[in-house]
This record gives sequence, C-alpha cells and structure tokens, in this order.
Amino acid sequence: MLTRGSTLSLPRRVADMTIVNVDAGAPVLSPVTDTLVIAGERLPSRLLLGSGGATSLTSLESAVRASGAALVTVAIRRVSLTAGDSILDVLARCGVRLLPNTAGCYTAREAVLTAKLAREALGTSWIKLEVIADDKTLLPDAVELLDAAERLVDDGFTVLPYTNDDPVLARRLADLGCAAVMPLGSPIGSGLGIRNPHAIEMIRDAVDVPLILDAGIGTASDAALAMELGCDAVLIASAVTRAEDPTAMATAMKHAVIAGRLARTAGRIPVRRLARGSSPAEGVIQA
Amino acid sequence: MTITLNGSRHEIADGTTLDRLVADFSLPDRGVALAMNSEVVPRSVWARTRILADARVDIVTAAQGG
Repeated sequence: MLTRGSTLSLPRRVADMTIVNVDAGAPVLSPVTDTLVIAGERLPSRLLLGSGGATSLTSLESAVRASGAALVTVAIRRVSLTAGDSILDVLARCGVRLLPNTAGCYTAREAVLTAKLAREALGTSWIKLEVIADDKTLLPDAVELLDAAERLVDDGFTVLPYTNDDPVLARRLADLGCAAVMPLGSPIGSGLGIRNPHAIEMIRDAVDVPLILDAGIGTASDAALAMELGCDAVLIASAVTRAEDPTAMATAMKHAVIAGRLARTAGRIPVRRLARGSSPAEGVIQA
Repeated sequence: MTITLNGSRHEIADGTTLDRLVADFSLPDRGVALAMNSEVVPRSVWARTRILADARVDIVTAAQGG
C-alpha cells in the first residue's frame, strides 16, 4: 500500500522522466533542448502574454509572474500628462522582454510608423504587427498586413504578424521574411477558442518559422489544443487579464501550454472507431 | 505659430525646438518616442530640431495592450 508520501512523489518522478528521459531513442524533451527560438533568441516559455485588459498594474504583475511568460506585449500610445506607475516599470521588475504591437493601426502606413516609434521608445526591433480591417471584428487586413510586413522586414525589424488562419497568407508572410506567424484561433477577445483547427494544422505544414496561436483563446483547454495542433507557442491576453482571477488563469495557461506541448511530442494514440481493450483477453474467470 | 501636439492645437513661438516643447511634459528618461509629421525624430536631436509651422507632433510611450 502506498503511503501518503509515496503517492505524492510518484507524479513528480513520472513527470521528471517524461521531460528529461534520454534513453532508448525516446524523443528528448527537456527545458534545455525544447526551447522556443524566435529569430535566434531563446525564450524560456512557450506562453506569450498580452498586457491588455488588466484592471490594474498590480493584477497584471501578478499574472505575468504566475504565467512564467518571458515575452509580454505592450501597445504604443500617446503619452498622458497624468503621471503614475508605468507599465514599463512593472514589466522591468518582472524581468520579461517587451514585444510592442501596432494595435489600433488600420493601414500599413500607420503600422510602419508605430513600429518605428516603438523601436525608438523601447530599444527593440521586435514588433507584433497588427493591421486590422475594422473595429467590430478586429480581423487582419491581409493586403495592408503584407505591405507593412514587407516594409518592416526590409527596414530590419523582427516581424511577428498577427494574421488570419489562412495557410496561403501565412506562407506569404514567412516567405517575405517574418520571424514567426501568428494566426488567430477566433476573433480577438472573443474567447471562442480555435474555430478551425484544421486550418491551424495546415499552417503548421505550410511554414517552417515559429507558429504562435494568437487571439481567441478562452480557457486552458484551448491553449493545450493549440500546442497539440503543432503550434510552437500561444499568445494570450484577455483570457488571462479579464478572467475573474487572472493569476489563477495565468497559472492554468502555463500548465496547459506545457501539457499540450508534451502531448504533441509524446505521440498520441490513433483515433479508433471502436473500443480496444487494454486488459488481457486471456484468463478471464468464468462464472 | 500653431502646431498639433498629441491631437491638440497649441500656440508656440517661432523657432521653438523639440526639447523646449516637451519640457512641459516632464517626460521619463526612457520609453518615449516622438514623431513630427509622421517621421520619427530621435531624442538625441530634439535639442537642434526646430518645429515646423503647422507641424503634427506625436509623443508616445508604452501602454497596456494585447
């Protein structure tokens, strides 16, 4: 009979073996080797966090720390004359890298200027490129997006475009030099999850650059599904910052991304139409 | 002369430089960028950049955003 102590230690041992076991030709999946790399930079977490939607900077800081995210988005906006604790101070305390975005831009011209201001203000050439079509759907405008991506790549930016769940558009973005592609699962802030998993799988097959599911995540199972479909990372904002308990949801998302990644690499069983028992067929008692 | 600063009209003296203009803002040392007429002007040259008549000046920083 297991003691309370051994019961508790068993999952830890199993988890350790799953992560670092290197024998018998098993796929190596350790925090050292299974690291997200974008544009040559290693990131210690496959969860990217958006900072929008938090009710306070205190709430945001707690969620960022709980998420384990190493890359956090910020928007670029006109300075306010009202002084206060800056989001830059908060994120510097958390030790995360900044990913400025071009949220709110409707044209390539606006997005390129915003990216250049972000580079000047924050000292980073990384940009989450968003060029949206309208404020009702917040869907990407593919034509303006491609134009902006090309101009920014040519100007030396590391471009991470928020894009539609369209494999052809994703390939075009990758081909012109984007460092990653970030298709939506469903509209921004909708919490509808991944409405077209097949499209995400096709994008996985279409591009070699990192694939980051961006937008639409509602809860932890959505994040796990994204990883199981072959995404390299997930970017989550509203699902965490607007949850009733953002810190708890950030923790859930952290584990969901890890679980989904492990499941993707573990080699899941094939789906069958009928049952296949796992107990021996021999030696069943007769009564 | 009149300029537009972050969307609001302002009267300033002819020949005012960018560093004089932003002095009223008490801007932080980092995390800020400025564009005049949709061109980024590096902070290092604000002191010797005169503001053009009818210029549109935007000063931005990081804010919460997904």
